[in-house]
Amino acid sequence: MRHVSVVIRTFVGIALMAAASSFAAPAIPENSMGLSKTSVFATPTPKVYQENPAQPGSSKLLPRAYLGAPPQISHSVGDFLPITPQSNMCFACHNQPSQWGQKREKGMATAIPPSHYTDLRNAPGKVTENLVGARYNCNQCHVPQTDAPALVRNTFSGGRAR
Amino acid sequence: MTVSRRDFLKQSLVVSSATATGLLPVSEVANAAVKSAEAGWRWDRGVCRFCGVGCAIQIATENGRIVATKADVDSQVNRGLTCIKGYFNGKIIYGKDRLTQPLLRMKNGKFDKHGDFVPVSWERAFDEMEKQFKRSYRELGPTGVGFFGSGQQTVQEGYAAVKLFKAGFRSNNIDPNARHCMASAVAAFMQVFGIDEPSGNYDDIEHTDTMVLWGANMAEMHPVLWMRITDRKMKEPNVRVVNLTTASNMSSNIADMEIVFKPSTDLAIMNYLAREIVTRDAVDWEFVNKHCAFAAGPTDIGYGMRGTDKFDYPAEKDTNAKELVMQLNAAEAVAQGKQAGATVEQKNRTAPDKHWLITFEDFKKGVAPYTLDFVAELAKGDPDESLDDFKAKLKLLADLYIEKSRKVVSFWTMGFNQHQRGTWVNEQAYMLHLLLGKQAMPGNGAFSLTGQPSACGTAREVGVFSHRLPADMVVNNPKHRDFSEKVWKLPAKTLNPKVGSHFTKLLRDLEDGSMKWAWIQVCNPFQDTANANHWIKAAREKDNFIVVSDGYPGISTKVADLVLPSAMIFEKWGAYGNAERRTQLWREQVPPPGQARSDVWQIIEFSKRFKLKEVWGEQKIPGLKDEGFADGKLPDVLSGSGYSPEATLYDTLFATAENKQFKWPDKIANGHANHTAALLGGDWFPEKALFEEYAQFGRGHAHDLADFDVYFRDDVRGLKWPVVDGKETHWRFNEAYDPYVKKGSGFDFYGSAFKSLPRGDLGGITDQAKVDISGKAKIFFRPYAAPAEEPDQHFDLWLSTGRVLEHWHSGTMTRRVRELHFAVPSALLYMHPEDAKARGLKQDDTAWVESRRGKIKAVVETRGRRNRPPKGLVYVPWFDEGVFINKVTLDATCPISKQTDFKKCAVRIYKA
Repeated sequence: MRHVSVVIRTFVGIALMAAASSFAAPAIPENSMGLSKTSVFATPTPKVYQENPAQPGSSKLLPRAYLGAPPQISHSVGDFLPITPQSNMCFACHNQPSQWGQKREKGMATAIPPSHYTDLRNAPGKVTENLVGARYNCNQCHVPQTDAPALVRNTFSGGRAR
Repeated sequence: MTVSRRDFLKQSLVVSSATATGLLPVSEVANAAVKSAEAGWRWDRGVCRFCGVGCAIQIATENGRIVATKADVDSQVNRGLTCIKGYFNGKIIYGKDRLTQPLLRMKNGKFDKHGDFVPVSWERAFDEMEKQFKRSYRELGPTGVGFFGSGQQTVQEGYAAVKLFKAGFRSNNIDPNARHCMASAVAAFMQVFGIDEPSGNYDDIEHTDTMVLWGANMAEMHPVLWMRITDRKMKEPNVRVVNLTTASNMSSNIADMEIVFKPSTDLAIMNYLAREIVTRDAVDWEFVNKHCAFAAGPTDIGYGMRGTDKFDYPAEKDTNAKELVMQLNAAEAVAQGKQAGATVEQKNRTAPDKHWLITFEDFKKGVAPYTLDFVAELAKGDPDESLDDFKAKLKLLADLYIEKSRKVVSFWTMGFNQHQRGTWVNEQAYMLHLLLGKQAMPGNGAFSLTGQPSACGTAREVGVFSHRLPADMVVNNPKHRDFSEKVWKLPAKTLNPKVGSHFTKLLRDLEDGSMKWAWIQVCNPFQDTANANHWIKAAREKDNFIVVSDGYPGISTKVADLVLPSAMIFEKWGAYGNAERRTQLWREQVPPPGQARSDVWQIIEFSKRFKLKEVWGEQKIPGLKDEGFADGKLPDVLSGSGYSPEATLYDTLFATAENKQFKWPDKIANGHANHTAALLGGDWFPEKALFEEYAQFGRGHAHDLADFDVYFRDDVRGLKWPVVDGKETHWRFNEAYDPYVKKGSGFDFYGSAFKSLPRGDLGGITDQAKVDISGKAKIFFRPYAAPAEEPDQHFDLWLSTGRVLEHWHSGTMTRRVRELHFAVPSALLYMHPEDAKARGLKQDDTAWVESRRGKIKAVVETRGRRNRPPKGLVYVPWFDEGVFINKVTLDATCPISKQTDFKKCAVRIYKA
């Protein structure tokens, strides 16, 4: 339920912002358009962004983009990569099947859900004891977040509970 | 001794893995929350907007907006999985700066190239677009106008654009950004098999036990296939994965063996493997004798550069001069059996694709110099690796390929395709598999992956290329023109036999003034084309008119004269075709915002503004020389055609009696709207009509598509063509699977292009009499050739470019999704820490990256978390318009395929 309420808050916020700014300027200079507000002939100096320094266990969960979207990683991951066949550091904390259906205690890692223990290609519907190999590379779906500001507002609002 | 956190976690990993996991049901509470949220949502199928894998997704909409997407569990491609980008198929359309009205550069109420953008009506936009088109068309003829298409256009968009340009305007100046992406793959398919696209499919991953990646970082670029590969590897101890690359990357993390080689030396490694196959007597002679022929071609073919220095910056002249004369280096001389230091005039730069049959003995002579010693010395890409280690790896690679009982799949994408000898190196992959008899069977095959979601389905199959027509036909073949003219009901000789300008040449045409009007759809050529300083300047400073249809403003929009707001992916009906020949269709899910409209509508609506008398009269085509045509011109085809000179291209090409038989509304819509149909009058179904008309080209020609409606059936998640008698084809050219294979042949490489050839030896043609090799595939000998530009004392590092997992192409969609943007906010300069140190640079410093063509600034990344380049090479992704790396890259191409090599040029790096 927690994710759902976060989604509601996000939705309301975006809806208010969207209402506040919806007029068009009469003429638009090219340098005000796009993601780099500069001339195509210019050479901007890129900003340096820092990855989230939060340690596992100390960070706040990030809101999901929408119901069913993969959670973003709320802590630093530098020490845990790369994921290799011999070593998956994410698994060390997040492999918590005993926590399925339980309320997550503060400071505990989010348990990898049962879907990730289900081989959808070969044995759909069966939750097994092992993480499915297709889900082994966590960072193909779950990504850490830096301190960069958004380039452009996005008005997507995910599904919400009624 | 302290225990690091990493060690501690390693220990706890072992402990937690050993702990028995209790099996609990999914939380009932969570289930209830999902059900409650989903009440009122409408779910329908779609296909992922991003890469060439072609994952099927489900899309939820509520009140005219997309609220969620999820991977389709019933899809054979992705079985309930997508990558991080795939989860944002819904969110990409909701960036606040969507283009929602046409914008025209104006001053004082009039079009002015130096004006700012002013919102105008569609009517006003088309008026100016028409006026400017007709000005260029009247002045320069059909080659004075051009169209930039895309491997992300829907099948219908590509088809409508091809029909308008080739049949309507009689211009072959239409080419897709897919030229940058897989033209080398196409050229190799045509030369080796005589027909385009792979024999295998993604199920090869589950059937094989050996997967070799050649310049394909699948972990980032084909993530869902990488999930399948990882799954296979974790399940089967016998499975081996090898990653050949010029920089260590995420795919290396899972691979059993990583081979870091020097740029372009893949050509030499391939020939080492071929030499081993021959030397170890491992050729599958039964397969080769029955199904293959040996071939070779010229080596003095240039590097796809201009061949004139008229437009060069002074610093570019030395590299560009190699287009005409190249001095062979020592390795190249050995590899090609020539004298070191010899200057070779690139005599065959205008006929790079010609080839001839050779004997096996000649082939053997060709690969003879590629000994382990020679190749290892040449190819070792990491200065810190010992030569012995590198040799051992090459030998092990040969063992894996050759082991009789091993099935092998070779995967590649941009590393091979974006290569100054891209066609050659693609052909070498088939060389290995054909020699070994490991091709076109489950788990065995050379598998060319593709980059974009419909590079295959649209660009290649529809033929959105300057030389192509639908279903592998080409404009310079009279039979193909004749067939197309019949399907399109055109007077004979309407179609232009002269190949038009390829993607990079379209930009060169803008610079030299031979083209003055261009329309860009679903791509960002001014960001994605190498040597970009030339092209952005040409767009802004030359006499031309550039129209950009897009969902968001990007670099190309900023240099445009007219911007048209386009409906994005699920705001229109469409079809995509992925890299395993699978065609997938979707319905319009939500309405486009504001006045944004589909590209199909834009093309069809624009066609209303042309009468046949304006386009089908005599037209000049500079340089046209073809049998049955007067030099330099296309004939008047209107008189005696039965068509009225006053009829429009809309009446003639699109709103035909046949097309109007496809009625809208149609029950297949199942409650979904169609804004394109509504705007065109509401009584016919343009996307279905275009699809069915297009399908006529391929049916019966081994490119058979099913009926439009079949793709929407509940039990269908796309179908792999050819679809014959309702059945898709899993493996082509194999009698057990492919209905087009001659009965009793076992294998039949039935593609018909380039199957009648003269004979020769490694030096050239010796006997002009043509030999027919129908049904056979070619095993080419292709030598190592050095790239046109290599690091030297002034520009001392290799630069390679590419993508990252989190962003798509030029980033115009994914950078507007905060989750993706926060993950990778800018393009970094990945380099070896010691290369950085030697230049006084460290992590997070800002550096200049400079080549002969331009310079940009980027932030240094040396921690090796994503890419770990060896000393001597740096990598910069191209998604970030703020780190405009294509101002630096070299626009050399494979001379056969005309695909740009974005993977290698020389740069210098210093502190900013």
